[in-house]
Amino acid sequence: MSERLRITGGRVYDPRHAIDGAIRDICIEDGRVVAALPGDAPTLDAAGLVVMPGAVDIHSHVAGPKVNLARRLEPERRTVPTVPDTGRLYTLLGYTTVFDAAVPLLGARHAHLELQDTPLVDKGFYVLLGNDEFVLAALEDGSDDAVRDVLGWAVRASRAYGVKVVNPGGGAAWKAARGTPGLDDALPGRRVTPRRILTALARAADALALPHPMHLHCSNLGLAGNATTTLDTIAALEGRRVHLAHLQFHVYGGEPGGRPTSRARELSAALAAHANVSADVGQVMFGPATTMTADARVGEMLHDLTGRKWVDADLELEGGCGVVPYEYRERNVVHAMQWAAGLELLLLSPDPWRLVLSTDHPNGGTFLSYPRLLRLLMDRAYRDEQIARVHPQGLEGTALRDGLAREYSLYEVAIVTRAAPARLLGLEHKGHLGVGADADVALYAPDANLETMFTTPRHVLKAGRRVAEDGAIREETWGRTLQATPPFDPAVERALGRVLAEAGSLSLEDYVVGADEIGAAR
Amino acid sequence: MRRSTVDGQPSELDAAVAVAAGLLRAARQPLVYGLLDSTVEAQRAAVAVARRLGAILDTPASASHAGSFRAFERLGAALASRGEYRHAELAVFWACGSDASELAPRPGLARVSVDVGSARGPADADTRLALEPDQEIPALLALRAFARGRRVDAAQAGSLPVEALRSLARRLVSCGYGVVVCDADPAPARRDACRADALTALVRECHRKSRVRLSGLRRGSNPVGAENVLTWLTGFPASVRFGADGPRYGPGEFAAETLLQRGDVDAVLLVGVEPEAHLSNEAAAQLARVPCVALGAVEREGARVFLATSAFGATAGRVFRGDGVALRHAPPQSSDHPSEATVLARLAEALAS
Repeated sequence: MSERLRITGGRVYDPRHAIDGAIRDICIEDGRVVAALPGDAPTLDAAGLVVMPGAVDIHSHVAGPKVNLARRLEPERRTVPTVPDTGRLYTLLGYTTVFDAAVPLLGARHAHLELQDTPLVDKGFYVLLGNDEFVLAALEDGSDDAVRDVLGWAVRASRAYGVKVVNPGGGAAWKAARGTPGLDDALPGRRVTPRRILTALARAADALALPHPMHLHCSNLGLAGNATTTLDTIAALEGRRVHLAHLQFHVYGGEPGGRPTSRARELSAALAAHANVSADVGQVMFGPATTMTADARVGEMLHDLTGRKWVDADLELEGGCGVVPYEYRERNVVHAMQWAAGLELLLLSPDPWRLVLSTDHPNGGTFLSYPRLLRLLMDRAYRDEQIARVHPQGLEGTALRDGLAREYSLYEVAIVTRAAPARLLGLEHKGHLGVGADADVALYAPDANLETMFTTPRHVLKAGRRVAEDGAIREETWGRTLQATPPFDPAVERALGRVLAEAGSLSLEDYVVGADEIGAAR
Repeated sequence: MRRSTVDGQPSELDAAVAVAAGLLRAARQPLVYGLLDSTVEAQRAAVAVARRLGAILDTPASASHAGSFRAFERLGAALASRGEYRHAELAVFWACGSDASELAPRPGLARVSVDVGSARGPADADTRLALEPDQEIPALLALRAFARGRRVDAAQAGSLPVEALRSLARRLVSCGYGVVVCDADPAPARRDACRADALTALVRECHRKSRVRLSGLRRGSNPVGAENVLTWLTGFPASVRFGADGPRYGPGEFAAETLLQRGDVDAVLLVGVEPEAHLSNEAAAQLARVPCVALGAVEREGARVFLATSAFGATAGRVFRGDGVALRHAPPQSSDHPSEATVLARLAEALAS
């Protein structure tokens, strides 16, 4: 017996099909959207409700070694929810697909263990490359084909969905000698530069036709003047697909070593001029956060800055990570600038299909703050109230100070939280409500307070099942793990095996996650 | 083939599981204890059982690793996967050996043993430094002071071997890569509330000038798996109570040792542990008085219900290496007995019915 449901009379926002608030029925059968159903199919009355596809988080940190270290580091507060709560809390916001943005090869099995225990949402991760011996050795051999095969092997072995590059080469240089190489500086003791790593991996991701392009955390995160690095990086990747992670953290002006300022306007213009580039914003939200990053330099910097407790971990043959609890404060001039820079990027965005929502959970704030961020984008009066509260120096030189009148529409919200991230991820069946789409649907009751509206969807459907209602989980289902399956030349395994034999503590087989290691644990 | 038993009498597994479920369900405050010699799959299943029972879940680490838990939550940690130790130029064995072949004698690696009382490091260390037990924490504080470039005056130094400590601190801050190895599951006589804090703080201090990591030696087959699984499922690494308001953390308060000594539990489920190896005599005596369900490859005397499972060594599954790397455990020999995970899943089903 098929499972059917007709959602009737809702105001539908489905940007992929250019549906902007039209009253439509959505027909669901066996977890997918279908064209029609028999007249006697069960119905869900959506009259007066806003109907959107389930939201997709393109950049979050929800599973794996560093996430679990963060949970242990802060048992007293919950900026990093448990795995069961992660699935539930995302669902309760109307998010039905979530990607962890940074899992090391050596941590892939651990990440999958956590994903197996994550209920409700579909999920996946990007595997880290670019500071590892495998890619660096292949580059020193001078072969782009070898890099392509390392990437293909790494994605397959780790059962990842895509590839993440964090501070290319910078992680390796930091670990070796606390180096911070520029784009064209050779790494310590090597003939490889960050530019070479970047371009080779972007090219490899394209050559393998990965569904999502190289997901890039640029060099010099958080440092004054890093906008120049970001602009240089965009120029270096001319003609290649690339997704820039948490762009807000990479748009700073100012003198190196000094106080950062916002150059969001320039980066916004660069985004407009480069159709090959997409980004998620990495919005900072005031309140508690936990910084966790594969960019170990940043961890050390934040520990030195705050004096707070700190976990830093090195991984053999790969980079490392840092975890530091953090707090963004309205009256802190740098935090105010960061908050403003993210809003500038979003409000100046030339193309909502290429700049999508994220807080880089939990780095810029937790995903639970998405509703408040949406209100900031959609409600100028509310935004102006908030602007009045923050440190005025933080706003100096920003477009926010000049007054930005733009208010996101529900249609644009549906783009930046659903349609665009799904498209950027190459998820054909997500982010829309056309025939064949996964029946992941969120229904919201309109409210003058848009934060209230987006905090508690009236209904959430996952694969056609009514999993949440009015802020409570109704049924706990298990989503899928999404993975890419690029090809690679098996001959690369010999080279990888040589690297491991020389310097690893594990065999190549230990890195390979089995087919039986993914999917719901129960 | 070993059989499950109820009151010492052989029983079919399903029947024994049903009795176990009844016994545990009837308890006012059940305790699930162990998870040390268990796969990740069994650890997950034990969490599910504890959640369903509204039990307290604890592991031997609540006693042996308490100082390290506290140090982690207070200061953080400087960690490395063991393959990184190949970079080490200096290894300091703080009253223990090491299980990492990368820290075995080799050219380019200086190995220092700090011996504390009868707790000694490797016999083949290049350099030795002997401390009395009551000198240990002052020595760590002095090392940290020296690493920071401070002086230690005579009054503070007392009977400490000041020059040897100054020299060791100098080596730690000037090496390219150093590893300090410690016993992270010390025996009761070596447990100290301050040592893990002091070691972590020392490594942090040295790390300002060089690159130094702290490596904690663990005991048992999968203690790091237990901490990881409990943390991602409950938020806490041990000593968790499942209540109507969700999991709550009670280091000390919800530790098996404390609960048993106080007589606060009225049924116990043992999984992947030989409890007497980890509990005080008083707590073990109390355990013997409490109705007990035990899983294992070896029948436990006195258990109301014994559920026969495969031994850890014969159980396929996933485990965490001491440095936190998750691996697949593929045993060379298989077992005719069901795994702990399978039996716990059946128990959870019986509890739900």
